[in-house]
Amino acid sequence: MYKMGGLIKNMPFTFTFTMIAIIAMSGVPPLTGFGGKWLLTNALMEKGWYWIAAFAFFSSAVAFLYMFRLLQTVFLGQRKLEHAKLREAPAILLVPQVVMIAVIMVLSAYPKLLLDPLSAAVAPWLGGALVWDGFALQTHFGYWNAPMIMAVVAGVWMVPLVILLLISLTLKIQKVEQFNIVYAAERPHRPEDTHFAYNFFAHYDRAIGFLVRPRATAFWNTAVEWSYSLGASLRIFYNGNGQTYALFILMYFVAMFLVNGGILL
Amino acid sequence: MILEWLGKIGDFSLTLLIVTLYGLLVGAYVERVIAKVQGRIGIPYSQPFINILKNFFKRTAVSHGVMFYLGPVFRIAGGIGTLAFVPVIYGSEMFSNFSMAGDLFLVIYFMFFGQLGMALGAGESGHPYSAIGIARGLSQMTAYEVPFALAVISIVIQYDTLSITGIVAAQQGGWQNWTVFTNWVATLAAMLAFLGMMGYSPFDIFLAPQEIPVGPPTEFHSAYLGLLQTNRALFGATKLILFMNLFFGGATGWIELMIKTLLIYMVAVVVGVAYPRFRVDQGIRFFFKIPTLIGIASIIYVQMVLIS
Amino acid sequence: MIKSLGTEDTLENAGLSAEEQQLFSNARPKAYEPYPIKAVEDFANWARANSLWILAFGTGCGAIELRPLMSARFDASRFGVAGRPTPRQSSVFVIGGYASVKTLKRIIRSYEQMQGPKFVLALGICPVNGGMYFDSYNTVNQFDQYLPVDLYITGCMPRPEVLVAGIMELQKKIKAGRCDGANRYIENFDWYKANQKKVIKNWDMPDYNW
Repeated sequence: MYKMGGLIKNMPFTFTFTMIAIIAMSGVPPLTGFGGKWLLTNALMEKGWYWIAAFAFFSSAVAFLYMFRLLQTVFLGQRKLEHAKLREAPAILLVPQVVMIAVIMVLSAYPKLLLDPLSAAVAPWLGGALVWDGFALQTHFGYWNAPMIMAVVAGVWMVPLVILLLISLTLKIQKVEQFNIVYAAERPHRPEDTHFAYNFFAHYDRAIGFLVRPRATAFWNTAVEWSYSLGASLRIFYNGNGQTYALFILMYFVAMFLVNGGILL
Repeated sequence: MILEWLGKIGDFSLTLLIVTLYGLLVGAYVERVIAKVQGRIGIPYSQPFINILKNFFKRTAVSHGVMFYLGPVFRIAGGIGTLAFVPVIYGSEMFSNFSMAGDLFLVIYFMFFGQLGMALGAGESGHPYSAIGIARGLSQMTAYEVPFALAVISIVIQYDTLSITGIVAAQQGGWQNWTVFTNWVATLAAMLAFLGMMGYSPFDIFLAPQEIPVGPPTEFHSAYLGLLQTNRALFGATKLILFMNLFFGGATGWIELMIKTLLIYMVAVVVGVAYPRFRVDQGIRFFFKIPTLIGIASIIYVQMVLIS
Repeated sequence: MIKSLGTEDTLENAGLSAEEQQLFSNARPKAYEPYPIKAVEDFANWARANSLWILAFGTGCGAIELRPLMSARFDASRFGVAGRPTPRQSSVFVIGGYASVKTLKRIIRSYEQMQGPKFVLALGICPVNGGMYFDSYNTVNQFDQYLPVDLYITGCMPRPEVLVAGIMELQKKIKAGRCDGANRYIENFDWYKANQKKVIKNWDMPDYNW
């Protein structure tokens, strides 16, 4: 992945689909991933599994982190020179993506289409159906009106866009290339050293990285170390020197003599 | 149906206008307070408005691509949308916005929306410092969300509802019913998270006003920056209103709202002018230690003391 | 007769290798007209004058006079002055005294990255005639040969009080609509570029740094 970067210029459609999929996956409303997370958290709360609910929340926040990293490393940032000639994926690859994205969008706006058959399918075994109030899904704690959320988000997204487009009429906007950035009054020299992707969340690693360092390796390394030192200690006795062995034999006889009828008896 | 929606949109536009103006004014006030602490006079109250106007009156701009252009749009849509899902005035149908669309979880998750769009826009600019700012901002965000989520779960158990209106309703009837007095443990955890959320010192390194030029918005200028500045005021005020609703008994009128939110804001400002800055990894470690422990304690407190 | 760099719309970017040319924009900058309605333009100028964001780029010895400007004693934020660390967002460039050739290259790059309307405030005597560096091999003597200057504040060095006075003078000039340095630069672009390239030998950036 670190060899890529800036591919949004060549593959705008792939980027858009990846972005929508990632928004949906990381559970940002209005897309459908939020519905799944909302249902899950509500179910956990109703069961009284509060700790798991807290963990679920944290994990979805962290999921957002690493999935953004995919976008930043591959599609955003600086494009490498050898990738300037890359082309968009062929239609045969794009069409299934379009279909999937369309399904995501429809299910985001009308989750009832998916949830009704699902709850009907599991009802005989688990019991308990989802409670609907119009298009809003009700649980013991809260409610979730997906079509309305979709409408509100679309509205609040369109209004600033229109404002910005109107203001753009009074502006001279120049489309620029990838190296036309503020670079502390210098100019960037190579895309490779201008693209920031490697070790992206270094602060996280510094803060709590010690929790995920592999323990097994450390354990076996310690085991190896200990067996080496044990062997080294044994080498004092088993040192390959004939005189030492002769001394051991002599000491054995002396000991036998002392035990079996010498001075002690 | 159509008329009802139009009325709703009109009411929300009014709320939006008031909250944005209030956010800008309170931002100028806070700047003046900080200036007084530093022995200065500070900016005039009109300064944030003039800054935004000036940015909209710029005559040239550059664009790094479509996503760069849309970044500020996503950001301010995140701000407006968050406000749209928060009921602003308790007991007022007019200023309840679109809070009937979703509950507290929706608001918390929707806060990511603007961050994501901004991160994408700043990423397309291709500036390495933008990317560094994003990495710092996102890391810190996930860290302070932990104590905040624990505090939220605690008060959801306490009031047995996820609806913000329901939470505010349960706190009516005098100051002794506010969450800050009934469940002070959760409030403490949430206020520590609030310090990170408002982006004042000691948790302002992701913006880094001077060093890695201004964090993610390094490349944004002209009208883009005008939108971002508007959003900063609006989103800040929205977060204050959310905290007021969850922990300080909500408000039944605009005056009450303004007094309460200003006082909540002052918590972040007092800490901000008094303490130096954390590095990001220090900030993350801070949030994972004491505030998280307080958050865990708040859930235990609710289960042991308040429910039983 | 000044040789034109490239055509009417593009610049030739001769300082860059063929490989690098695709990485930089080669568009020629265009001048902007004032708003068609005079009242709007006046209002815009009032807003611009009361929100001067200075680029935090210390060039020459005068940079040290910018620091106290924001501190408790002089507090320029009363006049709407603020520092911005990135040229994209700032509107005033304070040339702090002498400009060595090495710094001039960075000044030009930063100035071109600022978004118009933008203003240049030349501090000290050195940008006027070279001052005590008039015969230096390494500093430019007349700064307005290289970038358009909107206001000079002379002295060696002017104290922050004088700088505040100069900022207020600049505000008056902007409100009167007489600060058109950014447009002058674009209209005489080839002349300015020729002068700049005369002193800067290692020109390894595009002709206009967008």
